[in-house]
This record gives sequence, C-alpha cells and structure tokens, in this order.
Amino acid sequence: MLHQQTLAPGVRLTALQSHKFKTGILCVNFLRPLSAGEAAMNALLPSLLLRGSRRLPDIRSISRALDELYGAAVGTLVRKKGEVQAVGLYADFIEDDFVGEPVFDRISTLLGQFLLEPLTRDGAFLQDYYLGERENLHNAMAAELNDKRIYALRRMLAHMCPDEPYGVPAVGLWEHIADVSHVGLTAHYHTLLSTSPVEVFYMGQRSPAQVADRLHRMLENLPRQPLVLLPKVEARHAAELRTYRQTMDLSQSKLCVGCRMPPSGSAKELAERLVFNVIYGAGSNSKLFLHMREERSLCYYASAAYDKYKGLLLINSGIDRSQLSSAREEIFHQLAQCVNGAFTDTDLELAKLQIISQLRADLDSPSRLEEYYLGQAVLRQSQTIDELICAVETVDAPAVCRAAASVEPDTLFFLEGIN
Amino acid sequence: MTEKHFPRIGETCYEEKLPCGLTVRALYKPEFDKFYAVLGVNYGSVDMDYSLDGQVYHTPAGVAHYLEHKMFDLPRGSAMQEFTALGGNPNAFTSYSMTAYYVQTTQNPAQNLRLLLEMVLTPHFTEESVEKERGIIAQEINMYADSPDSRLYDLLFEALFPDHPLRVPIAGSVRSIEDITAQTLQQCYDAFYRPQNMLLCVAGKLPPEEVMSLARAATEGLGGTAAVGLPGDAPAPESLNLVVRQQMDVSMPMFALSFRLPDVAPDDTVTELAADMAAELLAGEGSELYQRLYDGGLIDSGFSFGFEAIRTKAMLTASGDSRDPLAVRQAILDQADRMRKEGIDPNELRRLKKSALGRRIRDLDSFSITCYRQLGYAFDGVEYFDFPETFDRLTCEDVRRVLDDLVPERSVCVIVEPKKEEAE
Repeated sequence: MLHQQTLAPGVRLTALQSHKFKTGILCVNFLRPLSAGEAAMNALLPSLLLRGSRRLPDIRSISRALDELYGAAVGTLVRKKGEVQAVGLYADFIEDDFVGEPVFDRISTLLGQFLLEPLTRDGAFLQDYYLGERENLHNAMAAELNDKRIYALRRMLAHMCPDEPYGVPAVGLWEHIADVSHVGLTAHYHTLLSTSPVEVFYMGQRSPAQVADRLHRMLENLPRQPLVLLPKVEARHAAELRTYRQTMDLSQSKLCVGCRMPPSGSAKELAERLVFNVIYGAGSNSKLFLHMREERSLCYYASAAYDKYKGLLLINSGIDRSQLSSAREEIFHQLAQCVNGAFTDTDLELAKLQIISQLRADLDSPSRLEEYYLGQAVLRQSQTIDELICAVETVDAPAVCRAAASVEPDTLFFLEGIN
Repeated sequence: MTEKHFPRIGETCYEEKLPCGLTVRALYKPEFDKFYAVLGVNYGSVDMDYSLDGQVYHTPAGVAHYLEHKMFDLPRGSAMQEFTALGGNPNAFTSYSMTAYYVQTTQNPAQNLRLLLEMVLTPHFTEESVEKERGIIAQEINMYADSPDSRLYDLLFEALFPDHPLRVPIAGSVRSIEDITAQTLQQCYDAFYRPQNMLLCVAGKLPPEEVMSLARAATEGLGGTAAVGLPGDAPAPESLNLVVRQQMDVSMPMFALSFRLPDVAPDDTVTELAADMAAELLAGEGSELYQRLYDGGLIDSGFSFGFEAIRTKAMLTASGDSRDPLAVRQAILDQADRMRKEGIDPNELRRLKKSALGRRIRDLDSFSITCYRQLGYAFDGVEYFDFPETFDRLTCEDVRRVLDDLVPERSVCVIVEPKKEEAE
C-alpha cells in the first residue's frame, strides 16, 4: 500500500510496505532547480558525504560497518529530471526478519549520519577529501567520451539546449566548480540541506508508521528554512532543423535527432505520447526497428525515447557512415507515417500492451517505483502507475497521430566515424 | 518433479529432468506480477571446434552469436513480433560458454514460455535471411570495436589465454562472419541445440506443474546427443607477466589486471568464494590497500576486484580507471606478497563471509541474476542454492592458497589509454 506523509516542512515520505523482497531500500533525495551555477556542487556532495562521517571517518571504517550489516550498501544518487536536479543517498539492506537483527534501524541511523554529520575540520569539509572527490567528478565528466552512444546524445543536447537549464548535464559543468574551495562547498551544503524540498522513499517490510517514526529521528536535525522554488519546465518550439557534424576515429557512426514536443500535463497526454513513442521508435515492433534494422539493415540499433519531464523526443542510432542520408530519410519518413496514421490497429494494441507490461513490471521493482514517485514529485502530479495504465488503455489512433504531429525536429547531430 | 527446500535462503526450487533430457528448474513466486524465463544452451563462442559421433568439426569464429540472432526467425515470421503481441519482452545473449534466450513479462506467462521454447527448438535458416543479418552483426561488431570496455576485455582474454579459444572475441570479426552460411548455422544447431545440452529456468507467477507440462509438451519426441566442444590441448604459457597497451578515444586510462588461476574442476564451488574473499581482503573497500589507493587518487569508486571462471578456466581480475595503472598493479602485487607472509586473520574472513552471504541472499530478489547463476552452476552439475553451506566450508587455508597465484608470472595488465596527441 502506498503511504505518503509530510515529515517536516518540505520533507515528504513515500512508503510502500511489501513482504515480497529480501532487500529493503531507503532513499533520500534533495531537489534543486537545475542550474549551471550549482549543478556541479550538488553533484559532488553525495560522494563527499560518503567519504566519511564523524563516527565513520573513512572509506575503510564505512565499508567494515556495512559488512557487519550483512553487506548492506549505501550509494550516491545524482539525477536530472527535466529541469530539476535530484541528489542524495540510498541504502539497500537485508530485511530484519532474515537475520533477526534490527538492520533497518542501524542503516537508517548511518544514513542520517552521512547526511547530517559529515566529517569536518574547523567547520568545513576536509580539504583532501574535497579535492579527491572533485577530481573524481572531473574524471566522470570527461568519461562521457568513453561511451560513444551516450556521448553523441549529450553532444546533440548541448547543441539543442545551449541556453536552457535542460542543457546542463546531471553532473554539472566543470567551470562552475573549478574555483570553488572546500569552505565554499561547505556553505553550499548547508544551503542545500536547509532550503531543498526533500523526497524520502522507503520500500520494505516495515509499516509506514514504523518507518515514519524512524525517519523522524533520523532527520530531526535537518535544518529547515524557506524552500527554493522548483521551476516548471520551459517548453519551446523548434525553428527549422539545425544540423551539426563532428568526426572521430570510430568504426560505427552515430546519428541523433532531438525533437521538441509539449511536456505532458495529464496522465492522458502522457499516455498518448508514450504510445506514439512505442509505435514510432521503442521496441521490436517499432517503425524505426522494423524499417531501419530489420528491413533495410541500416543499423544495429535505432530507437526513440520520450522525456516526459521536458517534452523531448530523442532519436538515437548507430549506422555506417555511408548510410547517413538513407538513415536520416528513414527517420523522418517513419515519423510522417505516424502523423498520417500509417499504422494498424494491431500496432496500436501491441504498443499499449508493451507499455502496460512494462508498467506492471515496474510495480515489482523497488528502484523503478522510487524513480516513478520522485518523478511525480518533480512534475507535481499525483497519479499512480495504475491510473497511468488505465490512461494507456484508452489511447486511440487519432490521439497517436496528434502526438506525432506535435513533434518538431530541432537538432540533428552526426558523429561521423573516420577509420 | 522434485521439490527442494533451501530454508537458509528462503527459497524452494522445483526441478525435473524431462524424458528428452532437458532439465527444468522453477521458482514459484505467486506474489509477483512479473514472470521470467531463460532457456540456456551449453554452447558458447569457445566451441568453434567440436566433436560429434567421433568426427571433428571446425567452424568460423562467431557462429554461436550469429545463431543467437537467427533463432528469432520462425517459419511463419519473426518471434520478436509474436512476443510483443503477448506482452513479452524477449532478448538473448551469447557468452564464451553459453547462449541464453529469455523473456520477461507480466502478461500471458504460459504463452510467452511456450513461444520461447518453440523459438529455440525450431531452427529456420534461409540463405536470404542469413545474408541480411550479416550487415546488422557487422554493425554490432563495429560498435564493440569502438567501445573501450569491449576492447579492454578482448585484449585481456587474448593475452591471458593464448592457448584457448577464449582468445577470440565472442561475436567473431567482420572477416570471420563472412564465412558463415545457413548451412553452418544448421550444422551447429544440430550439434549443440539438444535438450540434454539445455536448461530452462523460470521464476514468477506460473505454477511449477504448468511449467513442467508446457516444457514436456514442447520437447516431445526430441532427444539425441550433443556435440562436445574441443578447446584444444595447447599448454598454458609458463609465464605471462605481460603489459598490453592500446590507445583509444578515452578520457583517462582504463585498466584490467588479471591473474590466471590454475584450472578449476567444474564442480569446485569453494575456489570461487575463496578467490572472491582473497580479492576482498587484498583490495576490497574495507582493506588498507583500497583506502591507500583511493586516498592517493589512484583508483575511484569504479574499482572492482573479483573472480570469474569460464568452464575450467579461472581468473581474478582487478579493473577500473586510473591515471597510473602500473602503480596500482605494483601495489596489488606488493600487498599479495605481504599477505602471503602475514597469513589470513580469521576474524577478517568472518566479517567478509557475513557480508558476501548477505549480498548473495539479497541478489535472490533479482529473477534474472538468480536464473543465470542457476544456469551457470547447473551446466557444471552444481546446485547453486547450496551457497550458504559453501560459505560454511570455506577456510582461511582456502583463501591463503589463492594468494599463492597472485604473482607477476600469472598476470596480464591491459591498459586502454588516451591517444598521445590528446593526452597533452
């Protein structure tokens, strides 16, 4: 059963009691408006907090404490949801009944200490911890180059949204942290703690009342001040298609197209766009898969993804460099086919079935549920997955055509392999 | 059908060996909406040479993987579309030692399972469709060639196992797949896709009786003996001690430092745990060495150190990103030396066992991980769910023995580093 309650001003608990799993999870997310100025600082904080708390001052002591909790895990959360950045920590741990020990109580205490009692000297984070984690963040930013599929998509987005918050990566930009000191970051940490809306998610065998009681204690020292306002996403229209090219020493070239769509306000709108996206470009019955891969062997992969937060359709494919014009033509031709209703009733039913099957599978996945409810908080929506499933069931063909017609191609990026 | 209870991990497994030779294992989870089924074939990329009925056959690199792509064709069309119509989400993978086909769904579990079985048990290869797939697979191979991770591991296996077909990449090469025809696929299918050489694992809401009867019906009349892979009998190199470097478009050096361990018997489960515990003691997050390397900026949280066995070949691999991989390599070698002299602290081993056992139990929440682990173990004739007892049996001496093999002569270090002109 889903239970939601406010624990403190701006601190909301979503608790799902379930006896299906051997693992419980607890996540604490701080929400911030995504902005170049602070995104890198926010992204750095979770890793820095896991370097040491007052009680467990280094990685070694932390690891040993987790070993004694039957291999419980703690980790960092750094995500971008539209134009909101969510940063925080998670813990997953064996259920108490399995080992006859209060693991949940202990791990939640630990998590609270990581968040609120970091190791400091003269009131600031340790400088060497800070510099080490900043270097790791720098490396992580640079490492987007390593996976060319992701790299091409990020390059496309950088070209598409240079002056929108959405153009800022989840980990932020190096130039906005290069000059920040450990003292400066400590000041920002206090701002983050006191002014961020907080989303806490629990799923496990404890009752919501037990969880709330525990969390009240865990977060009783969380400072609360007037909260930052989370922005509504800025929806824009595309002008004409802009094209960018880059060459690299690669065997397989990448073709990405970014399109604008309206953000989804209601479950009905979201459902319509999800169904369109599946018919067009997601899964093995999609037009992109069937025509680009199976029929014309143009690529190993070609797919589209709908970002419900910002209202973007992101098309992504790996092709041979000689196939650029064929692939590009096919991408737009298949989109036009959707606008014109060139799909069968069976295609429509299969798309709905695929989405519903995935949504039901999400209901069996603690991490997917956490992601869903965090997204609902960002979107300020309250519909449940079951309600979304109902909305998907009622989508008809004209609605799919309408969704397709709302797609405005904005930016094409071609990462050309020269090898 | 037998019902096996494993009270220490809270699982019950239903198992049956069907008349055709197929072994079926089912975990019944009526409280979940999702259903997962995987059909594994004990045929991987290393089985390029094989013997059947006394005759020896040689096939090109990449056949097992090519076959995996083409198994989705049924005489009446693509099984992919049929799965979609049933709400199922199918996929497949080929590893060095097996090919696995799976479907995950929340709808129509029985029909999805029936289709999975039918698909794998119905070969349908035409010259035209095999020809068409060549371009798709070539694109896939090119994609791996661009991936630093794939390159790293291909180079590692090539250097670590020069005497074994593990040296050849799983998908083969753009060149080697040119020689694969519909006839090659049919020949290898007939040789290896025998029920006796397969295993079906399912988890979810479908009652075990139904799983068994579906599998029985799907395999009726099948049988036969499967081929046996011939990995060759070249001797392992006497000394490795290699450092291999490759330049690519990466942001910082990536490395894999691997120690080739002595061959393991298929039913040896202790060595796996002993090696993992040795790795944890040496350079796990709770170790002094990990702390030192991390504080020194030589490794980050992506660092890992663990055991892997493929058939009888075994290795212990440390990998991650580092600005100075050779310094990490030296630190690990030095620490292994030190630990050999100092021995294993029983209290440390107790802590690590507690942690590793807890994590293994938690992994049981994942249907896919649980099914794959059962597959891997069952092909070796081992009951996966007995792992708590294996932890009980594990001694300090088992762990110490692994340390003896962590020496330069058994090591290969592969480094994928940024191109020189971009490094400056």
